[in-house]
Amino acid sequence: MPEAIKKISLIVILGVLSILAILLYFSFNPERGLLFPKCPFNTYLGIYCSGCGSQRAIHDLLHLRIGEAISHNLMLLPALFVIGQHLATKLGIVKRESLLNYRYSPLIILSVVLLFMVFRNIKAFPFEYLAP
Amino acid sequence: MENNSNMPPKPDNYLVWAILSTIFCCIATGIASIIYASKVNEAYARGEYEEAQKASKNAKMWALIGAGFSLLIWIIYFAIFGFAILGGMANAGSY
Repeated sequence: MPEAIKKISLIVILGVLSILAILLYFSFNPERGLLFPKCPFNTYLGIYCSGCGSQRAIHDLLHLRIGEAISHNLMLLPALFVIGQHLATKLGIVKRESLLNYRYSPLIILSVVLLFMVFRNIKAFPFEYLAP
Repeated sequence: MENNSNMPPKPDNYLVWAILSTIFCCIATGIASIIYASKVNEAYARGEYEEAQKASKNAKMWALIGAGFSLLIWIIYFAIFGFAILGGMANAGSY
C-alpha cells in the first residue's frame, strides 16, 4: 500500500505545482520584467541551450499564440506532444505504444537535442530562426 | 526485445523527466538523464538486467537532481527578486 500512497501523493504534488506554474506563466509575460529566472547557461556562457525560450514559449502557448511559441522554442511543442502521448498511453486513453518506449527513443531524443542546440547558435540564414 | 521472454520487465528509464529537464531547466542534468535512459534500454536489450537496473537508478538520480535544481533556482530567484517585485507592484498601484 505505501507504494500506492507514494504514487498518489507524487501525482497530487505535481498536479498542484503544474497548476501554479500554469497560472504564473499565464498571468506574467517572461519577456518583460525580472520575475522569471534567466537561463544561467545563456547568461554565463552566451550560448543558447535547448531549453532557452521555453518560458516565453509557454506564456505564448497559454495565450494560444502558437506562431510566437514556435519562434521562441521550436522544440517545446513536439516535446509536450511526446510527453502528452506518453501520459495518454499510461492512463490507457491511447491504446498504442508510447513513443518513449522504443529502444532507440533516448538516443533519437539525445541527437535531436544536441543538433537543435548546435543549430540555434549558428548566426546565419536558416538557423537564426531557431534562436529564442 | 525478442529473446528476453524470461526477463523481468524493463526498469523505468525516466525519459519523461529527462525531456522535462532539458526543456525547462538544465541541459546538463537533462543530457545525463537521457544518456542513462538509453543505457537502460541498451543493457536491457542485451539481456543484462542488473546493468539496466543500475542505469535506471542513475537515470532516476539525475532526474531528481534536475527537478531539485530547477526548484532551487526558482526558490532562490523568488527569495531575491520576488518580494522586491511584489513590493514594486503594490507601490505602482498606489500612484
